[in-house]
Amino acid sequence: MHDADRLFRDYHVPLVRYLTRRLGDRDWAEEVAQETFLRALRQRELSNERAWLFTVATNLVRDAARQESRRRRHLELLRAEEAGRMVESPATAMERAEERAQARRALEQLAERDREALLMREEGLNYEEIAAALGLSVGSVGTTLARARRRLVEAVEQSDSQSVGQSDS
Amino acid sequence: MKHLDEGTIHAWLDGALGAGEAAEVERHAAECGECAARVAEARGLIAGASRILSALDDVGAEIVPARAPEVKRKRRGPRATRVVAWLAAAGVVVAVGLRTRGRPGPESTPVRGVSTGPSPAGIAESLIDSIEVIKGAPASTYGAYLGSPAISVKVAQGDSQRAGRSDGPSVGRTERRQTAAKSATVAAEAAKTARSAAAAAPSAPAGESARRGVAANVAVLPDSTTLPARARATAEALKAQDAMATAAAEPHAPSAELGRVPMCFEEVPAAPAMAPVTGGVPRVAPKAMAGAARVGADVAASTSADQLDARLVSTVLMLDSTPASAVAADARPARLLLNGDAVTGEWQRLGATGASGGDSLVLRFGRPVTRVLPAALTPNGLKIGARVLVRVRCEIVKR
Repeated sequence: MHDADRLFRDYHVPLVRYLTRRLGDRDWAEEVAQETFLRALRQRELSNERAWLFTVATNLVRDAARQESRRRRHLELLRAEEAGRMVESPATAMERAEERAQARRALEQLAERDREALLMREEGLNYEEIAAALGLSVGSVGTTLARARRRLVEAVEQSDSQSVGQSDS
Repeated sequence: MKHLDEGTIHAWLDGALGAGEAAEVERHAAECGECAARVAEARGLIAGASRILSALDDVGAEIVPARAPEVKRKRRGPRATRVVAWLAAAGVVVAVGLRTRGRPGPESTPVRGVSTGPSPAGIAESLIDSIEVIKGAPASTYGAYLGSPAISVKVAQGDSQRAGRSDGPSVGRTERRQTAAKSATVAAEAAKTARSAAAAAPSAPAGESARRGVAANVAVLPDSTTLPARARATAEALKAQDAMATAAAEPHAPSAELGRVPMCFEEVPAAPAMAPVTGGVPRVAPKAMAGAARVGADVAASTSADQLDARLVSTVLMLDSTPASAVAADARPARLLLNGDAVTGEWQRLGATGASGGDSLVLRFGRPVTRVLPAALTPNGLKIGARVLVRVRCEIVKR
């Protein structure tokens, strides 16, 4: 039986960050993370805790995507609520939101597997763990990550080029 | 050994290869200019992607965790290889640095009027590195930096794993973001240029040209103990302050090196494999050069509303010239067109920093530079060798 406290302490933060990046919603990410940990605690044994947690969390996200429209409405409510708590200047908030939206759009342009591999890697999962979580061969993880990184950077660059073009014209 | 594929390079940089394979890759990258360029490009992509993703972190400071412990640290490659890669990736790092400019993580500590800003120790070290790079120059060249308040008031830089929020000014964030994305492909452009040159001119492969330039720079690096005591002491004092936070946000091994690159005092490879030309317009990679110039502009814009005043001091074009043409260049002022306005600069020799005795053209700007048109550069008959490095320097001084 694994130690619940230790499991939470070691993996909650990276898992929530992974999910937040994946979902774009902190509260939603917390929900999914919580569900993931609950499921983990029901397991008698976890051979690779981190890979298991990220795999389950990823699957939960995929399930949740089916309820996306409902979630979108929820997200809008959360955003409105969050906006009300903002203490930063409107300009800063707007720019930050714009930056975030741009990153989000770029990320969404990636294939799902590429996106998940990239986000997992950013959370420190090694190639074996990523391969296990996504059903890839270990040897293909490098190629997957290379493709994901390149496309992400290019997507942002393209987005910026369009922005510059619009502002110039 | 055939050329390295992109997946292998990323796996290597991620520390995912076994010891034997990693050594093989490292050896090949050190010997093959084309693959060295690919490695540099990959480093840039890794850093760039990481920075982009950090923009998604709409979370509180407490949520930024330590790196996962399982990430293996890759043994660092030979210095020359690392520096080549560093130079080629610097444009991307500039971009990623800009992305978090004004967005300090939880470790940020106010330093001498800097209300927000990340990693003072890293900044101090970066400053020292910058000084080191030009240490081979006469005192008149770098003395202004050593005696400047900029020594103790540091320029911000963004660690690839640090994300947070800023209460600082928002001026120029949009521009920074655009600059960041633009600069994010500088390494890629440089790498492509290098690859093209390598294919076109086997006798002067890209990596070799870059290595020559790097070797020249490395050759003038002094022993660190000879650095100014004040800068060193500042770095040491701030290092302890920064240590815990840095440890808590330890990035991937390859990014750790990149993460130390400052936003200011930046060195951007313009055309590491540029073929020699005589007179006329140097074939400087436009994106790289424009990107470099925009760095300075961005610094100026982003800090002017704060307690600090940022000044773009100069853009230094390191031209690896031939000695004969250097004489001619010394005699005449250099001109550069900035947004259609002619700006006059002066030559300053840095000594024999290049294979054929390089000179530096130092242009001092009294106003922010938003764009440099490479085609407008008139090298005054300078015969340009294989190396062109663009350096943008700026000071941030307390008001």
